[in-house]
Amino acid sequence: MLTFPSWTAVAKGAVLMGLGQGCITPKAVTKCPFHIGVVVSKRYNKYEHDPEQKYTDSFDNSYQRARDHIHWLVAKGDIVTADEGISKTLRLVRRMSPVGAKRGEVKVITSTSDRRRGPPTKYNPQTPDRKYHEPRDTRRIWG
Amino acid sequence: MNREIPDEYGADSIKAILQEVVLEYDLESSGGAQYPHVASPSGRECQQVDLQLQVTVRQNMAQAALVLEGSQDSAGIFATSTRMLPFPPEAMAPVDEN
Repeated sequence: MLTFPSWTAVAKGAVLMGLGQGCITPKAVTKCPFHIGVVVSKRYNKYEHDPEQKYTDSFDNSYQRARDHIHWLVAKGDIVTADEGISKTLRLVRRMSPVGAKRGEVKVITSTSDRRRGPPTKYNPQTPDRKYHEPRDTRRIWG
Repeated sequence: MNREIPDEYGADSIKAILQEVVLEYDLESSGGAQYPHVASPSGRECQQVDLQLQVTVRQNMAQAALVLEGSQDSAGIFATSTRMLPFPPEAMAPVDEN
């Protein structure tokens, strides 16, 4: 083992690293600029929804649902890589009368909210100036 | 459509801006596909359709697509509706070069 050339090799490597010689520059990444979610009807939960969101679907009256629930798929600040980016998929089930209209719409929501507890989970199309409820802390319910 | 929601919960008193993008679908005009008839838990006959929402985010764009899943159309899956999700202007610059 040669001691003298070995420490100079380390010094040479440090200089080359500092200069960026022979290094492959990784591709730049960005952060997702907003939360992305979709308005859905979800199974009603007292700790998550308001009573006025509750309804019973005429096709599915075995349990109660909550309308205007925002299901968030992508969070603001998630890393967007140069090659793959972000891809999310959500299955949506629609039940319709055989004789009824077969058209509809899906609302996709984006939010730039920086709240520590995340963006609102309730969508209110009628009164946009009313307060959205904070997601309730489940620890208070479950002890 | 922009909606500004006042949020007055102590330290989290930051206004949340929501923007909504509507994806429309019309299953009657989707190539004559037949949708399965199922008996709902209430006993009423209904047709059930499975849609798939696909959200894609790239460094300079974001989009949402609604596709029909499992139809008996020969193509199997075809695009129903696709919309771009507009980036906020301040989000266009890379934040990390390393």
